[in-house]
Amino acid sequence: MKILYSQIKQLIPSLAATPAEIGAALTMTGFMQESLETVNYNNQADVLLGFEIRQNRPDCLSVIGLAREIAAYFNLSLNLPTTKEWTPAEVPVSIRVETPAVRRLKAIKLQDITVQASPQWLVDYLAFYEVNSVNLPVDLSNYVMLLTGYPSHLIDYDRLDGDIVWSINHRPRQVTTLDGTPLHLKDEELIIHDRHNVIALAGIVGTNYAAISESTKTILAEMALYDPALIRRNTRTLHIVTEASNRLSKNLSLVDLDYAFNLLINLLVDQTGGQIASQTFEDYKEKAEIKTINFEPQLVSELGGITIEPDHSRQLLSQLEFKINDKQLPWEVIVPSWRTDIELPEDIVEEVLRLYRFDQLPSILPALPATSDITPLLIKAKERWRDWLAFQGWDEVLSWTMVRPDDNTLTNYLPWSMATVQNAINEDYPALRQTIMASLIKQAHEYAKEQVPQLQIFELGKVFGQEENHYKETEHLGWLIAGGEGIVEALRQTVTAFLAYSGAEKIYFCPAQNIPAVANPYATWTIMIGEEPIGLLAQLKEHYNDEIMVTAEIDAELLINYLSDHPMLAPTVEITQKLITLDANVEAASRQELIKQLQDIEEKLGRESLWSLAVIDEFCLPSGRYRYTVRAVYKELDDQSAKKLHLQVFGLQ
Amino acid sequence: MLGNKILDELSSQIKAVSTEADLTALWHKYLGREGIIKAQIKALAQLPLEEKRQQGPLWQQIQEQAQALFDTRAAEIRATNEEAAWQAEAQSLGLVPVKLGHLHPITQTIRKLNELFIRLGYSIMEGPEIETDEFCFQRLNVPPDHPARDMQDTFYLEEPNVLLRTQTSSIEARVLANYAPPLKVVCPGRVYRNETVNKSNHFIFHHYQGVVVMPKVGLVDLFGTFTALFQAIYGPEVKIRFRNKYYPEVEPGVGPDMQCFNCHGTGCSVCKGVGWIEMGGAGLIHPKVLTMAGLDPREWHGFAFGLGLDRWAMASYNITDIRTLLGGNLGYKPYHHENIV
Repeated sequence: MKILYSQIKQLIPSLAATPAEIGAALTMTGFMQESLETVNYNNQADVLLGFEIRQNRPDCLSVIGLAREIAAYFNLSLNLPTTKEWTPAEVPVSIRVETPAVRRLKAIKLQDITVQASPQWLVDYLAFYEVNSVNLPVDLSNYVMLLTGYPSHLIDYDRLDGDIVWSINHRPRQVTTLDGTPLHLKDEELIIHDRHNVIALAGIVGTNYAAISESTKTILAEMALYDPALIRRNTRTLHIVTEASNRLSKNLSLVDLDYAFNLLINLLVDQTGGQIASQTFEDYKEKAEIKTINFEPQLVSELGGITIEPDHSRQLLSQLEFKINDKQLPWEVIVPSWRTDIELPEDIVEEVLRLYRFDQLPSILPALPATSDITPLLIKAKERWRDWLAFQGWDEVLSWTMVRPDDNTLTNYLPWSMATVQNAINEDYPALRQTIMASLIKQAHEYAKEQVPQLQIFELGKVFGQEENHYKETEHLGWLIAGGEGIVEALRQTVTAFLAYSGAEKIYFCPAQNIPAVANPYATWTIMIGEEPIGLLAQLKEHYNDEIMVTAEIDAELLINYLSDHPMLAPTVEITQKLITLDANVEAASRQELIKQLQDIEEKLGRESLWSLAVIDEFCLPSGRYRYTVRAVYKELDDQSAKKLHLQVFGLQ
Repeated sequence: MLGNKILDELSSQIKAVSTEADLTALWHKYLGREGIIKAQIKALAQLPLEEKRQQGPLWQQIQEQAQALFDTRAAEIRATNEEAAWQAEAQSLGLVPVKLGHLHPITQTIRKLNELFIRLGYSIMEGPEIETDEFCFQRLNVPPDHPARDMQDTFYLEEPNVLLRTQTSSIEARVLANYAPPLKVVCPGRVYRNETVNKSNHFIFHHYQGVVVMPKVGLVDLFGTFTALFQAIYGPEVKIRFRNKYYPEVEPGVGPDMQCFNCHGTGCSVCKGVGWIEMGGAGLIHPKVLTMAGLDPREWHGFAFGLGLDRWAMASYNITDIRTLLGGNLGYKPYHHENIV
């Protein structure tokens, strides 16, 4: 919102502050200065100040609102433009309001209007706000909006056919706005219309029907406040934002509409020669009440963190035009009508503190009491994992989580469907990645362009999908490496070492069942911890600058859950007797079956006597089954006891 | 005497020998069956008995002295050869180049902040990136059609309820809902806003949220914490100011600014002429937010702050294009070789 320094001085005659001081004051109290520009206005040098307006302060989307803030800061009084009373005519205007979305409406008919061009001061003034001059009545309407924050609408009364109605549109219509933009109305738009035509999208923009022109003699001037949420929805649906909709989609004061409406009618009568030709129509069903808040003044000190005396708070609140009944505690604080943002005692605290100025408060690192550490295991583990991977020579990358649907189709290996965004910024990338692999392959393409040698990257990040109509996301760790012969085995060893480092045991690689399309189907394995599939290791069909590319991916959350359920037992063992190594053959149909058998064997042997259990050979039998040589190493047993236990558990007796 | 002359010759010849093979050849020349010294000893048989008794022990001594010269030289050559062998073996082990890995600049930036807050006793939390309208907006005092929603353009998976989080404040809402106070938590994370991608803006970026809920906590505590955070990153001389700003989830709301590092407050293109750079948002947690989390605002107070991480990371690592951070076209060195000695 912009404001001319000369206009501030008009409204606050005793103001001595310079434009720069005003800018600094408002910046510190909630309205960031955006611009300060030297301009020429009314043949005088002037300064145009621009401020960012807080979303909850629609009263400051006006010159008067900003001037009120300046007056409060410098503790000066504000002189508002005065208005004169007028005598309404006896004739009513035919208006019907058919929707509760109209919170307050005032309208009046003026006749004998002379529509002419605006004077230069008004044209120049509107230009500061990038508002084009149309004609004097319309420009005065815009001037009042900029001055007070209340938009109004002027209608060529003589062109109307029947009653003027405020209602919600429920059928498709095509209208053309004042600036010639065609709009397709569908449903739920708040409109103003007569018997046949839409006069305006209420609160947003007028149509070219019944617009004010040089031939206009009689106008209906209306000013209204609507349900802000509906105006917001209408602007979003119709993709149209105007100065009016920007204000009316916020919670402007119902009370202060009176002043703005009176000012508009005064100006129209004075400047266009118009005569009041009707009663004032008013629809104001739920009248706004004066807001009173019970307020404990010590709350300022509590929330501020320093002592601010009640007298000081009272003084600052009175500068902001709050009225205070402080005969007893709590105080009764009467909120100014334009401050629709004030609802709670904490809002009043903010008012005191912002005028006190935050930069007057000390800045001391607090000695806050200790609290329990609620950091999840996964977060702590991720930090250790990153360090380990970097130490092993892996470079971390972060990637787009939005990918092409094809990227998911080609890389997904999990039993879930794709999650997509309805309003993707790039239509080609509406899908959320289902694998880290999808991102790492894209990263590899970028690296390949730059001829980066020794591709060896990892990413820890979220992957997304849908399961039974529920969205699901989980943290994955992915690796991608390029190299020559032996690179698949190198990555297998890295993954194994990583899992062992994390605390996992029983790490196996089984031929995968769900093979992503990008992978070599003969070189893709499921990574298992015990019976739990935890990820995938795959050689990619695609090469990286003539090198083989291999990827691996694990579900980090599954890993952490597994580790939480299977804490490592006896990490330190005192050996008091020699280790005894014995082998045995075991038959199984597959590695999965073997794993199950080994788990049973391990359970029977017990942790007290077993040092390690490993498969040292695999042989395919003519029957199609496999024979595995298993090596068991025993501790804390003598030769005979170890042999006896071994024969018993492996069924060799 | 001839014997001493032979020993002198041998002594000078043996010094010139450097291999075991040459030494063996020389040994044969002097002490072999047909060698010079052996020939002299054989010749003693032709001498008269008395002379034989006189010369015999002398040549025996010469033979022993010659053998001692060979033994000494052989030991010297062996020692030299062993050293050469160790040297060769050490060289063959090789001090090969070792590839060092790197963590992403965003990770490193998060770590810097985490280190500070862990020292201050904070926990670290994360949350879902697919969020509900309830946790991303409503529990943060942003009901449907609230004007503050203009500040964030949201990606929807299912409008209006399922979306990609636009802020890490959603983690704050979840922490408040799921954990009993007192709480001190920081929440780094990825956020999404429907913005056009260019050199300075991206639709995916990273936030860092802090939340404290205590029986008594005020603005001065927030300011102190924020100042410590900036000093940890920019050094003790950094100048910070706090001004009032509107965020629906806090009341009072705070806009922390850092004095422009380029112009030191005089105004330049970096700070758009104002001398200060906006560095995030903060404030005391709004009583409605506490109430929605089931906390009594008369009993509990709290502060929250949020920062964008990407620009910090870019400034720290001299990255000029934000797209680099997620694009694989990394501005920092993605690989590096160093000899570790």
